[in-house]
Amino acid sequence: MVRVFVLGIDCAEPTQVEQWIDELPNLKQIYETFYTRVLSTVPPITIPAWLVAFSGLNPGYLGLYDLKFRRPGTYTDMELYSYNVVKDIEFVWNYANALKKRVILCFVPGTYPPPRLQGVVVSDFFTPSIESGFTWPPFVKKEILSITGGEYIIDVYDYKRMEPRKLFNLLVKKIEQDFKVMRYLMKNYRWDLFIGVLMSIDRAQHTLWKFFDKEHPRHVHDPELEQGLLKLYKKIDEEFGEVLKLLDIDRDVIVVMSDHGAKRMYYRVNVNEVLIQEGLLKLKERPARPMTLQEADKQGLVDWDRTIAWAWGAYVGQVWINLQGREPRGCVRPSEYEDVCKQVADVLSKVTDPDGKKLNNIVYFKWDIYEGPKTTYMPDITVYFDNLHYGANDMIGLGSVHSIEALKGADDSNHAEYAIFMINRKVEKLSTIQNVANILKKLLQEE
Amino acid sequence: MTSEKVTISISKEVYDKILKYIQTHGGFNSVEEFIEFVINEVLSEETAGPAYSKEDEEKIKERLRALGYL
Repeated sequence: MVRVFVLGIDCAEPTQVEQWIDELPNLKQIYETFYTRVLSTVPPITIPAWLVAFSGLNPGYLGLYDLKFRRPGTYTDMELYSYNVVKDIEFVWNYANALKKRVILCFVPGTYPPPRLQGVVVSDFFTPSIESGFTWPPFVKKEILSITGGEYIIDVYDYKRMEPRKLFNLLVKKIEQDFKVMRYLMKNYRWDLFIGVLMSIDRAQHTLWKFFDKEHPRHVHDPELEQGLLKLYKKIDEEFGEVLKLLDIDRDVIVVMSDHGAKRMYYRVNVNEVLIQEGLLKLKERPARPMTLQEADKQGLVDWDRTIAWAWGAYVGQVWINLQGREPRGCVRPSEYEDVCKQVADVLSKVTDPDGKKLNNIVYFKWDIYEGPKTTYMPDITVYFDNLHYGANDMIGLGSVHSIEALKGADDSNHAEYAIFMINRKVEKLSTIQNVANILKKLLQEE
Repeated sequence: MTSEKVTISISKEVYDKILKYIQTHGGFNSVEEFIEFVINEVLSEETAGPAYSKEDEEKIKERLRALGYL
């Protein structure tokens, strides 16, 4: 019986993997058989990207464009993502179960609360705390806590405020823990499909990038941390080598992939400030201090009756049109919708760098990129500022179009549009992350 | 949950499978405990509430703020 093993490395950037592959001997064994870059989702963000990869569906079938989504009937209220949102979707794990195959999911983004599968699930970084029911079956939690010595790390999330060396050491510890859990489950439970996803490279890209990238505007010379990101890739490679010992590389299918990449971030574009300057977002009064649009909305500062468009987004600009019939106080008639979208997109595509130099801004309209039953509340316009070398910020009251820091702190890197995909088989050419599910399904059919 | 009990019959084959499962994986003290747990899980799926309590939601939001998503 063919077994399919998938190692996900969230935010593994193709240019880094391609450049460093000779220093990653275990990953290289897979890379040499088949490797390609695959286009991520729009936007290239963890939850939609992984769940599109494992369902094979356009994000419009999942209604996902972030780790949160806007509550219908409101402008800025949001709900957190949970697996309940996608419980009716057929993912590769449901497909495997339908074939009477057992699955193990380890830290797969988007799997909290853990789905009740034929197999084992250890949920992802949405797990609220170790007191939560983050495993299926529930008794597996006791085993996970036991093998990790009661110090189970759900996520390394406070990385922007952490001293870089402390962060590096914590990420190493997290990688060791995650592989320990994965190998324990591989050895102790039967499986035909195993998917394990690591978040540590993502957390490192946002904070350790500036040490190795000498062209980064905020580059810091530090001989020890210069190799920090590479060392984390090497750590993963070393631990992956131990995983390979539990697999039959000639018979088992082994996939290593990411959901999106990363690239140097110069600035963030304060998208709502742009919309205010252009008269597309109207305020009743300016806020006394910088604040999120949600906070301004709660204080009654936004004049929704006269607002044409507003934005969310940290890595990409996500813009909605104040459409009649969809929004509580919509003022754009449906007959004007496409024209207004194009006018707003035109404004945002002209955003320059702080010196007035043109940027390579890329605009996506909803009708071109999303399809499916859940597109109504997805952003009408998505903007990649300078093709993702600029992030986004939804705060207002900053008084400028550009900023380096958001309330959340500075980022060294933004998410990038390409992901990695390697497999120890010759497979059909794939171009987007959405193609991955079909490849896995075909492999699961093999006897 | 009421402590009142009723008796039902299951096949010996299933009983033995459950017993073997418990002995291998632990987590349950008896076949009865296993069956009660599984049945409750299946029935509760239809009436599952929200994924997060208010307190859980705040924990996740705090984390997502630190990650830069909120």
